[in-house]
Amino acid sequence: MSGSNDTRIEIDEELLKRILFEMMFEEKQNNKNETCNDVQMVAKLVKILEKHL
Amino acid sequence: MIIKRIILKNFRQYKEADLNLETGEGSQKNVVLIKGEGGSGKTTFTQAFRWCLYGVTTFRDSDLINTDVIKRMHESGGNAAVSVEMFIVNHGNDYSIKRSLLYTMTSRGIKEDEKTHVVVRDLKGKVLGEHEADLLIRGLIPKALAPYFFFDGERMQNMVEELLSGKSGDISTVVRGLVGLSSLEALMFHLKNSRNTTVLKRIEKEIDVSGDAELARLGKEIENLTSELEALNHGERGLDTLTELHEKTIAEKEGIDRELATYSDVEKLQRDWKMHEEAKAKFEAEKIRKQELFVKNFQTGFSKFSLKAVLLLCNGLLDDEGLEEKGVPDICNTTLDFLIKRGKCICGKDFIEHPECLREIEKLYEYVPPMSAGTMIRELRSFIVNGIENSDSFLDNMQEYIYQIDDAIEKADNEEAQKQLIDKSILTQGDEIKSLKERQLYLIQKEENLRREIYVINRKIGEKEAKLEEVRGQKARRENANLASRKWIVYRAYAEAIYDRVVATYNEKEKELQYTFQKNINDFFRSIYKDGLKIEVNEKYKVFIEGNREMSTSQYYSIVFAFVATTLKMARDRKPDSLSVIDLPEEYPLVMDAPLSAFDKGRIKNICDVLPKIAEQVIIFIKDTDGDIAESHLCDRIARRYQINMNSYTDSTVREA
Repeated sequence: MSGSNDTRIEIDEELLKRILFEMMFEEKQNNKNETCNDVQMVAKLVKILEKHL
Repeated sequence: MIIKRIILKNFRQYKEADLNLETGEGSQKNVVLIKGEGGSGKTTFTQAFRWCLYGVTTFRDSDLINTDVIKRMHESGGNAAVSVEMFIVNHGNDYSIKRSLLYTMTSRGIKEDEKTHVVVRDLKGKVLGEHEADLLIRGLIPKALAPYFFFDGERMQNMVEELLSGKSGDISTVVRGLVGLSSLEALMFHLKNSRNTTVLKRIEKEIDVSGDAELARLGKEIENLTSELEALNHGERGLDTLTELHEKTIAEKEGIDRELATYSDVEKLQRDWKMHEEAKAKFEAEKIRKQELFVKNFQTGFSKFSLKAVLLLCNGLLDDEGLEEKGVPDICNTTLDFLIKRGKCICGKDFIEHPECLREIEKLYEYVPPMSAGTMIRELRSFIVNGIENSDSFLDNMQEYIYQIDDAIEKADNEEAQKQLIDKSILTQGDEIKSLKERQLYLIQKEENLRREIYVINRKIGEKEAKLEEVRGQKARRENANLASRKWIVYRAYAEAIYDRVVATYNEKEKELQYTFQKNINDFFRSIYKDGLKIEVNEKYKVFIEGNREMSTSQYYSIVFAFVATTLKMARDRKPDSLSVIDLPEEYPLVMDAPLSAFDKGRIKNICDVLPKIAEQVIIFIKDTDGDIAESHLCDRIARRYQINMNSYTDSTVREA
């Protein structure tokens, strides 16, 4: 469970792991290749959330 | 990465040098030994490796091109280039990396190109694109770690200082990168930080946009409270800074307490020294006083003393004459006149009847004043006797003063000897102790002030957090009622959960990394130095020596070796599913300039045992004398030997030995 106060959201552990893995993969790639700046990386991470949720 | 060959052209004193560095795959013989006299160009050659890969050197002068070539260009014009080409194997693939710098003769003199030119080719001779080449080189050995793989003996001290001062943030970044902490750090940063470009800020904006004016107001209030909390926690005078300052102050104070404790013996010795100094001054003053008395006694007593012989003679004469015994005390001639005129003696007898009484009375005229020679003689006798007695005590007094002066001198000398027994160097520490005590007092006060400030700031943070929680609750209830923002609320919940997960993983890994790093660096250090010294590593990879002990140069150098060995070991020990963002190659070269110069013979053996085990390829540049010792220890490990010959200051060549 996470979220603010009475707007509780059920967190799916498996889904969370998949999102985390994908985000980490993107960060790792970016660390290696330095292809994105911070704004672009934030956009990529939000897209990952949109894709899975 | 293994370096198979290196070719230098016009690089400083090397007009042409071509070294085969292959050591044979999987062979125990993985050491290439290159010997040369001092000044022959060993350091220059070491720099060629780094220049080829990263385009940097640590030469004091920037000119890379050979001086003879420059002269020739001045004489006959034309162009010339400096180049270093390395042939390497990385992850089983062959590459050549060639860096060159062009020098052109112009009307204004010789002009050096602004940038070096790098060409990377694969096995088939295909030139790699700039980005691909850059990735390949960066993947070989991270630039921040390059100084630890391409050792420059002359810069060893700087490297040690970097490690001990924790100044090199790059090292910390690289070490974190090796074990995957960089990716976690980046993800944490992109999910949530104080700036506006984060995943969570972006989501908040979407939620606000989807909501109504009240939601926007609550959002703004949360933002303000968050900024205020951010400033209170992480601002210039925020909780983080104050806590760090507080911890530092306590640490410094404890350090001073410990230092002052070590000075307690010194303080006692200083007190003793002062006591002896004061006693010596007292005895010296006593000596001077006695000397003055001696002189005074001499001045007053010597005249009488010198008359002693005369006085004794006079006294003897008076004894012989026996004059003064006949005198009649307190009677003068008028008394006798009165008695004669009266006609009666003092005893009452009539002179006529007793004429013998009259005769006796008349005899007395000889001995009473004004004929009172007897009285005067008695006074003279008294004077003489006093004079003789005084002259006798004069000598005794003088003798006593001499004894007292000698005694004072002996006591002063004794105090001086006691002072000498106390090491003089401790006296100079007096100022140090004083300044330490002043600093201690200052720190006590500062610590107290900081504690108060932290208390106040913590209270404010508590108030703000309570308020933030309340406003968030209001906003959450409002959001929940707004279906448009529902999607983003779910995103936020997951983003926050991911952030919490990443922070927890990061903290766990960071702790583990620090522990493992410290353990490994100590293991390696002890393989060279078996004297129980312990090295500590903090979260910024600043290296501490336990107890801040003074260390020898060779011990410092051993720390660098241990650091390199530890970094490589940790890179090798990575788990396959590691999050590492830096892929070090499977094999590593270690190029070292004069690595043994600071070590004694016993340690050289240890170093020679350790070095070939640290890396797959070890290329050692060494002066002739050290080289002979190294050869005796490394004989089973040496694959190739080279000798640098210095033909002139501008021309060195290398031949296989």
